[in-house]
Amino acid sequence: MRKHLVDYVLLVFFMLISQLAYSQTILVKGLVVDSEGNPLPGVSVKNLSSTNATITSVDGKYALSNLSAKDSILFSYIGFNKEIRLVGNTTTINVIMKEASSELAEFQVVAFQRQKKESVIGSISTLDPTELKIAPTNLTNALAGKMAGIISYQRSGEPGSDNSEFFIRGVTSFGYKNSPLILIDGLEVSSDDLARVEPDNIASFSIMKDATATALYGARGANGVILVTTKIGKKGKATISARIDNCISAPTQVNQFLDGVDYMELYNDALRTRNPNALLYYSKSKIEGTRNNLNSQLYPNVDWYSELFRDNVQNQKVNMSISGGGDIAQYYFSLSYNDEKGLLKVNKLNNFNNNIDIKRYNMRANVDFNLTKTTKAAIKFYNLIDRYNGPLNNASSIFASVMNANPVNFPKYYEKDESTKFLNHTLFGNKGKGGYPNPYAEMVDGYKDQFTSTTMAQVQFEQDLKMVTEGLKLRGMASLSSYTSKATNHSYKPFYYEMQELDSEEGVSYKLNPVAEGTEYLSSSSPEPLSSSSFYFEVLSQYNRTFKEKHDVGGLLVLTAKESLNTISGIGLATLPSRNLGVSGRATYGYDSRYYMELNFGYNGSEKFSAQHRWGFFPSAGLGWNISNEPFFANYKDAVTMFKLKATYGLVGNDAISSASDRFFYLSDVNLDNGSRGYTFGESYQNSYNGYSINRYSNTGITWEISKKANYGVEFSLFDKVNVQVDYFTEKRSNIYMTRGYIPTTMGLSADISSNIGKAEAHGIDCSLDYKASINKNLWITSRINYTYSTNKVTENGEPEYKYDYMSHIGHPINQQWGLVAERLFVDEADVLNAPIQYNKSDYLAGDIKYVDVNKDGKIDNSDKVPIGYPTIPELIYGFGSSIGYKAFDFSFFFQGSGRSSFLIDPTVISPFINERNALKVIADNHWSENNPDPNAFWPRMATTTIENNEKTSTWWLRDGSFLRLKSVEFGYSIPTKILKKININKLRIYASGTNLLIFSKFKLWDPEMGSAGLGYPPQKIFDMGLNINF
Amino acid sequence: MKKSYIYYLAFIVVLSSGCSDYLNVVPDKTQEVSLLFENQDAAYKALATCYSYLPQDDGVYSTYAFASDELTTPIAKETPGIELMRGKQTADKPIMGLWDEIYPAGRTQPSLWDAIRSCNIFIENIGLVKDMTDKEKESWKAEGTFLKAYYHFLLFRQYGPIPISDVNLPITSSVEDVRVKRKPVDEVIDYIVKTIDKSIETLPLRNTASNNLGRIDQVIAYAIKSRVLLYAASPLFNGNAAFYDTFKDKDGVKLFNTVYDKEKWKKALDATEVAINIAKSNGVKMYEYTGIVPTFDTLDYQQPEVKALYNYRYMFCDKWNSELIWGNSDPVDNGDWWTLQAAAMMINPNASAQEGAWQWVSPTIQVVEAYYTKNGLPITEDLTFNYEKRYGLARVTDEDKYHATTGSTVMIPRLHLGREPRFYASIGFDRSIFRTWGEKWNLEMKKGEKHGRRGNTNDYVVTGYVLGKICHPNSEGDAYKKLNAYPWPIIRMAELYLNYAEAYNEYYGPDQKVYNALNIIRTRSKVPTVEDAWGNPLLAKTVDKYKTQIGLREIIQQERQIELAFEGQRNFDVRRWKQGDKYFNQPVKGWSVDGTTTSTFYQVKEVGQRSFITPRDYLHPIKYDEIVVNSNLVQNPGW
Repeated sequence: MRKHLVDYVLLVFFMLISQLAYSQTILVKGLVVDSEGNPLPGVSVKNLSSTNATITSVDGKYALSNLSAKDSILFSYIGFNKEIRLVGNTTTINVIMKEASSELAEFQVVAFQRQKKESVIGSISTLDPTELKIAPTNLTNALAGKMAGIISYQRSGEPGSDNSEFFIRGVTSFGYKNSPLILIDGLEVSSDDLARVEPDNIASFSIMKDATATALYGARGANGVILVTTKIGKKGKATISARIDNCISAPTQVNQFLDGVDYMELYNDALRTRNPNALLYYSKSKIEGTRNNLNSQLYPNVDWYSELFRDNVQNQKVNMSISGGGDIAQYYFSLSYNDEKGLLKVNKLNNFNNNIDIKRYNMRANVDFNLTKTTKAAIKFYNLIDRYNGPLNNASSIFASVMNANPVNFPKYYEKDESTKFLNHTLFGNKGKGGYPNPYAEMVDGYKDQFTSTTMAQVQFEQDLKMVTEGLKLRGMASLSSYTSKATNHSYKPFYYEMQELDSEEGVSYKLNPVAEGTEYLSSSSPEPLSSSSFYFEVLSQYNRTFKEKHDVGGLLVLTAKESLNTISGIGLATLPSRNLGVSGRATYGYDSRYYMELNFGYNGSEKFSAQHRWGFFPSAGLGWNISNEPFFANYKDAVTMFKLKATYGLVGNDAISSASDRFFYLSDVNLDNGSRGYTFGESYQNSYNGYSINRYSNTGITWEISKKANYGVEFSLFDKVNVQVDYFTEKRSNIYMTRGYIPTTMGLSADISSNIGKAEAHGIDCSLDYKASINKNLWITSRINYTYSTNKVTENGEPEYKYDYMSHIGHPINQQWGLVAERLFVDEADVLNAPIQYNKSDYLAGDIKYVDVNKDGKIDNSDKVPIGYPTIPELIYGFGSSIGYKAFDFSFFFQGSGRSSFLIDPTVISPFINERNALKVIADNHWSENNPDPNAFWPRMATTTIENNEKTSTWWLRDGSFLRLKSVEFGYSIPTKILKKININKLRIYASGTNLLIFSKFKLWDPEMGSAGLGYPPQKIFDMGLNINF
Repeated sequence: MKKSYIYYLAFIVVLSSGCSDYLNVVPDKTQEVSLLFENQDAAYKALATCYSYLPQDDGVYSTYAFASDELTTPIAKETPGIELMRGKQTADKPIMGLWDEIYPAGRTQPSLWDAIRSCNIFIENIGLVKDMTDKEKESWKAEGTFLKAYYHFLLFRQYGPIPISDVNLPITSSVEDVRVKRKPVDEVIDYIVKTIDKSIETLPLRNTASNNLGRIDQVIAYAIKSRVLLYAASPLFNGNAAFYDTFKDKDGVKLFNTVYDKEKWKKALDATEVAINIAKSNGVKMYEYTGIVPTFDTLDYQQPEVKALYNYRYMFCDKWNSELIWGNSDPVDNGDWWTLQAAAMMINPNASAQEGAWQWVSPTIQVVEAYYTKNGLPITEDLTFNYEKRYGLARVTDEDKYHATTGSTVMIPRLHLGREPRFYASIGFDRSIFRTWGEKWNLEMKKGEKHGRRGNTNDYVVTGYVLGKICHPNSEGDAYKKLNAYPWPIIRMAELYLNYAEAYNEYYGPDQKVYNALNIIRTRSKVPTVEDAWGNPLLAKTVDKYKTQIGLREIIQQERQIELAFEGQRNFDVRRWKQGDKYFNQPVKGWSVDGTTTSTFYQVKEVGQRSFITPRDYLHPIKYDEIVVNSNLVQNPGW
């Protein structure tokens, strides 16, 4: 909120005093521009002390005469805040008009329309779109902590797959879909589409949280709604705005692995610690050879991480927009391009690029027409082309693959010698039969080339029916969108070589042996292209009128129809269209800007359910009381400028209770041609038949998931500088579609039986505090704190009757984890023998994990699993930050935090030495050993094979997922207008920013936001240099 | 205002007229199970589905061949069978339990309860097919019926008392109805036998048409019935008060009979006799090699012991041979690496590629010691065999020239000299003559030698032995498709003779009929007859051992171990004889394969730990989750 705000009250006061000054005839000239530096024609310029007035010319200039020094000039223009200037001694007064946040401040975007802000009683948060600007391109990564009511986290930093997960008011269902409905200009889109929206093109961004705000969306709104509207053109001269960013990104944290010598020594230790008689796997000579760097071919010591990845990468982004228009038509047109690359290294011997390189071209055109005085039309068009070039496997798995290969088995490739120099291929390292993972070869052996295009077109008509009755409007909208994605994989099979040791009587010699034959050429394969299209149609009539200045009456009725088609290969039913049909309505009544009442309903039908259960009705109601407008409040109004209480209650539905391929619950789903259930007869196995399998048994009773939401909120403003909004909410979900847990295997069902039996409850609080002030002419400051807390519990889940109460999931959060309680590591063999037997086994020793016998039955098994830690999805997300401007400089920072979540380190993934895999450095530094029998060491007694005892889900591997990070810092400088004038530029701001620069957390191994996926593509810290220019 | 009402009304009219159609998007004739039974072509799919649940005994990750004291692998290559033997079984994560869906590499094995449900669906609906004759339908139905019984048997074999699922429970069954109970052992056996009997009524006598090989017929059904009744009469299931006296249902129903019933052996004997006769009359007989002898063996093949070796080796992997009663006609996909054969195949030092050869399945010293001497006696019983110094080295004489490399410098343990043909046919050892890759090799297995362990790889045989028996001698391992696939024998003729001998001896005691049955098997492999071997005081330490019931029982059991070695039967035999403690609780042994010289290589070493807890490990645990979901199920003792 880096806007220069003028304290209106102070100025009025100032103006009154100025009238006391003596008068003199002065001619004042000047230029009026908007905040982006574009001249504003037609601005009304008026002497406040007389009737003397004028308007600005086409180039934004004015001249007003007959003024005295004590006079004040009022500048006003529709859609902009009023500006008042004291004449004083100056003869030139240039004014920058601030765009009325009026559009945002006095009106609020609500479902299907805009409503006067003071009358809104639903729980809605809005965000200044500039807050969403985050390097490099993913909008979803800007949400955490920025808005009260969003729970969000980002698990991966892989370009193209780095979306954050986000939930409105947390997760409140354990059904299929618990993410919000996202609407851009009224159209339902995916979170990927949201991620690609250019923040510069956003006019408003809001989230709808409670029942009255979302009920109109009927069966789609139960998980909350994100509403984005894009900018439209304004009457006036064409203005051009451009932004150029150049960023450098690097991992926030890099995993540390052992080097070859330590690896081999530790491997031998691990072998011997379990089996003292074991033959050493790595010979002394190999270890010494490696230690002394004798020969990197014979004694490889590979740091796979740095062989695979670069330290950092540079990305670019350009965004440009033109807007303007006349009386008949106004346009907003934007183009953007960005190039995002990954950290993967490329093999110079290949002439293709296996690194991620995504080029995105994004175009948006919004044109509005005034067809007649009462008829408006709008056309919106959007297209995104995404050219993806990248590795065959996703980059996260390449990061994880560093874990699969150890430093000493073989180099990434062998250097060519005399006998191999004629070979045309890379001699990738391997051994045995070439079955060992060589992460480098797997990374560079091909690439994927993908083309994705998303197009949306929308046309809209609006007819003011004031000739029928004042305040009545009719609107129709139709839109089409389509998505296609086509990928081609090009790959070759790597040639693998092994350095073979030949032990003969003449001594040891070495020979490079091919162990797996590859291909010299690239072969290509294309998975079936993905495409989807949808058609949406909406007719709406609304009525808003104020009677006798006190009675605000509003009504809305909307009919919507939506059809979408997907290509999902394989299953026939999945390719049938998805359809949703609905009527929704709203009635509002406000009395004297003090009391408000609202009734909403949504009535929705979906193709997924049987005819009896196809239609659902979702009503909601709310009340609001604006206490600050009560007469008795007048005395406090100076301090408390606004104070409002509100309460809402209602039902919302969710029809996305299962994946698109699992719709039509009333039908059974049988695969009548299943190859894996077939059998072969015959002398030479020649008589083959495919079999069948049942994927779903029919169930005609399946219907919506229902959410009952209540919201209690308070909003107030102090001295017009501090705005506070606090909401407390409760939610009860029922009809959650889930598996009936009581069906035993003996029933012989090949598919689970599911029904609407689940129930869950949630409650929480979300609040925000804003502070805005101009300390003086040169210094302004804005600050903001957001806090979202949401917790939930399962209240019914069809679970069997458990023997012990703590085994029941009822009463626990949806994402609660269950596990054993690890006490410590066993101290010695006596300790092992005296403790209860763990899982009927005897494969654990001193130094392995000792568990607590919770039910005291003398043995450790699954019935000793208790709820451990916090849920996996954080219950608490908060953020705070500030922006400070001094003259032409501005500085801002934002911290984002996450709390009350836990995650498990997956020991099966990081266990060293299994199949000769790599070892994390932390394990070498801190493990149990005979010499250091630390019962609390990070890693238990080492092993070269899986020790199941240590891989049980338990508190041993549980970690606190909370963190606080410095999400962004930005420093900007706007070149003074005086200088820019000369080169015909209205505004030029240069800035430098940093994202994810610091993190504070108890967990040090990897970025805690990644949770369990710590070996994947790490989130990035980004340094960005950018400039923003307006003509 | 009025006009606006009209608009509203117009919406609602449009909505109510269009909506019902708009939301009906599913066309008719969507996929329903009933479509499977419209015609014969479709019904084949339903039939194939019933068969598709047969466990893959030839899959390296699903075979029971490892679940014994006969085979082992390097630690890094442990298969589920080895994990089971190492005591890694838990109720939390059962190993190889067919009650649950399991995921061995290669192919998912669904729960056999799914299999039974599919059979029931098949039995209930096959009558609906329009283009099949009643006789055909009855015959097909009998296949489904037999398979249902067989799947019950496979579950019984692992879990003992199990619920019986003769008719499918409806999807809408109540919570109480789905909580089925386990039925006592005798009731389960009765059900299985009755169901097999029912299938026999309408099964074809013997399938001989090329397209139908692998489908169930009467010969198969009678043979399996023999096995079922043999299990029922065996000590584990017959009067086992020692283990299961207190093993009861929640209602107090005893799940095991605890009084020994000798008549169960009679039932097994009678069923076996019928099975043998019907098999014989349909051309099933002991195998004799009649194929072309490779040129490298034309000379040696003149020797009876080499001929015997061919007989035994090809008996197992010559497809659809005369001894096979029921073979799985759906072998693990024409090779690929999860076949047992690929894992056992030797690496060829001269081949450029080794795709289909892994060389990490190795027989143990235990199984090597189980084979007879060339005199047809156990090594502990043969007076001409130096048992005490069996690991000591000796020179290979001409007497063993068909089995091992001769030469003045060649020294191998006595254990490998003077043994019976089945040993040489089944197992390769250092300096042995071994047939593989369509060639005859002289094995050199010490470290650094051409067949020995190579550095830093886990593809090696930990005991120093390689397995020949289940590998086709002509399989070539440079590509998977060059492995010779064969229908894995589920049951073959030799087993019926062994069943006969065992049941007869248990019911009547020693008799010439028993010896004859055993001799049929021994003669095929040029092993002296029972009487010749055990009746000769110059050879046998315990002369005439075969004349007592106890002595003969031991002889039958050892014969069974040798004859059926590596076929995946050993685990179940040892358990039904209640000998788990004796055989499955000792570490397995092998040679020191990292030795590069004769003296360092021939050191006996423990190469793998084994654990068997009595009585717990006699039955599989029911998965923990299943017990939680169905509170009417009682867990097997000890789990």
